[in-house]
Amino acid sequence: MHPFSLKNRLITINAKTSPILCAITRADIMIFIFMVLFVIISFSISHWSQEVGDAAIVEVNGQLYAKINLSQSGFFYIPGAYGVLTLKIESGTVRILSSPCPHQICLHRGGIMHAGDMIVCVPNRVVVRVLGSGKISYNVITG
Amino acid sequence: MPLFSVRKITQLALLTCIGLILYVFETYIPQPLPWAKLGLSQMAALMSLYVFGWREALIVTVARGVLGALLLGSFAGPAFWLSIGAGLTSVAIMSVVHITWDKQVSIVGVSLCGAMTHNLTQLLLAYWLIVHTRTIFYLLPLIMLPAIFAGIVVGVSSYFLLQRTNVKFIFRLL
Repeated sequence: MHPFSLKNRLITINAKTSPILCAITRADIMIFIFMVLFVIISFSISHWSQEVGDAAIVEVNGQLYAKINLSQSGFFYIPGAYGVLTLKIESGTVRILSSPCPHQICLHRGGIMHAGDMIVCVPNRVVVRVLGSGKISYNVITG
Repeated sequence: MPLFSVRKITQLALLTCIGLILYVFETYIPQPLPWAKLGLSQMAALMSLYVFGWREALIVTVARGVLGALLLGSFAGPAFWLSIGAGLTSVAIMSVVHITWDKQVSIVGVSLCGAMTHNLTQLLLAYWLIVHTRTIFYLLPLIMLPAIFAGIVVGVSSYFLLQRTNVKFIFRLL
């Protein structure tokens, strides 16, 4: 007689108790774990390679429109495809204050101050990027 | 059955309608993250992949993308090309995974792969067409996390639709 009999189990998984757990195969779990690892690794890379930026670059339609030092506080107006966006720079952070775009995603992004951060307004074709002074502390492995 | 018999066209039109209804419906679901959609229209592509085949899944996805963009007003805009490209690659990867590994991978795994490639392709297309800076790839974790959740939800729903309610039988019968 098996020391581990079916009566000792708390829950048995069969087609009646949980049909979905019956259908999930080992390959599914591997795909899921791969995706979770992907998320964790990409998050770590992006999190530990940040440094404070010193200038903000504004690109409209892929072309460089303005380069503003982040030490200058003030309001700047950017002409986008939909209308005029208002950029506000204060204490080293740049944010979009107002925008005529329909979903206002760029407003919800908030302030960016780290090198490499960006605010993208897709309908207006505007990209606001923060440049860094030196190298990123973490070397990304390429290839 | 030839690819374009009237019967086949009717069946594919029904599947496209299902995809369209889900596509419009998911714009009304409250979204904590604006770009993280649940991707319920992948359910139509999955069902056509499992019931018919990869060609029909491709047709349904492209038709749903074009008609959905016409309905929602984003036809020929940047979001349209992102969604078409992402739909194409996700259907391609889902078909490849399903056809080669049908025994090893269940529908939830296929849907997870499709969701992952869908969101990755959206990011890649946004990099190539709109934002030409490499720092957009810092958004990778923010894109992939909703993809995992959406893939599981769509996969489980499609599983129950296909296994428990005999959708296959109904579609073959039409």
